[in-house]
Amino acid sequence: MPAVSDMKDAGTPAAAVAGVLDDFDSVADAWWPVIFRYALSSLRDPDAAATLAQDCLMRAWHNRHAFRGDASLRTWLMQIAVNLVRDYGRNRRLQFWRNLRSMPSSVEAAAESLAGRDLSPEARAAIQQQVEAVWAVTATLAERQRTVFLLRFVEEMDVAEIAAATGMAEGTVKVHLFRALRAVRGRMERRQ
Amino acid sequence: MNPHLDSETICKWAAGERTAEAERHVRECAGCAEAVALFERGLAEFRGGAHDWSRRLLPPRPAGAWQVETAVAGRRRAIFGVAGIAACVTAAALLLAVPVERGRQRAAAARAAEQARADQLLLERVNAAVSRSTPASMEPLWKLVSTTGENQ
Ligand SMILES: [Zn+2]
Repeated sequence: MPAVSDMKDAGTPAAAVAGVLDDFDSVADAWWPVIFRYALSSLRDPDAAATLAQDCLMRAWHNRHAFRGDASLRTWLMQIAVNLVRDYGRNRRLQFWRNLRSMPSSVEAAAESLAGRDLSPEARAAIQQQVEAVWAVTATLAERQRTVFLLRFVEEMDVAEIAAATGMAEGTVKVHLFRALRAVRGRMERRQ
Repeated sequence: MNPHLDSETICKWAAGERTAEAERHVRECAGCAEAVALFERGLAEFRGGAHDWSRRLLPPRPAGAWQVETAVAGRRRAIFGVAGIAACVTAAALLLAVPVERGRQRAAAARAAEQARADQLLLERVNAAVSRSTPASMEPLWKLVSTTGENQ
């Protein structure tokens, strides 16, 4: 059986990992950073992200007996996280939007890391501008588009996994992805 | 060569929807290849920034409430285990005591009935003995007393 830490990237089928849920501490250790990251990119509030990640693991623990082999562990956990993020947005609408509007410090981090790369000044400026555009646009996207976008471009999930985690049809996922990307390019083009 | 990729096609490309025509064009056109690569690079940098940001802010995982729950459940099992054993012993004792008590009551009733029968037999024997012990000479008197009694 693969180690729990190997499963987060591979999306190992649940049937192969169902027994791993018995050692829930290992599951929590392996997935805590992933769930926190998704929650942070969605909510842009570290405290809320930590609370949500903890809630996510708790729900997974309580529902661990319902975990079947028809989804990967990652898909199953992200499904719980996606629902929690959606509920958070609906229950704390004002706080949620306030956080989204604030430009995250990840933009500064991206700028710092770009400064050390082997890039022409033009390419660096273009990429920096795009990173800013992505953060700005994801704050304005409809909930479903933002969810799909973050699962694809932060968590690197494929269309089938995103469909399973969100309950959307694969075609719908592709449409949301395309619209979100078009919004990013639209913003970049307006700024040029 | 096909016309250059427009913004919509680049978005579809980045979303994973690549037509054979677009792929051929990107292979042949340095400008479009660069445009696509730059856009994908921007998305990759966004991801890298999000990951770095998350790593910097990642708090230690709080002790899982499931650990607390497991411990509480364990204690509960232990507490209810002792109480359960006590309850089982009491229930078993009660279950055993009921028939024992019933048996005891039945035995007492049987003893009482036996005693009553014995008393009755003794009384009958006494009566018989008393009857036989009446002297023949006194029999008429006894009859007279009896008759007198009956007449009263
Ligand atoms: Zn071209």
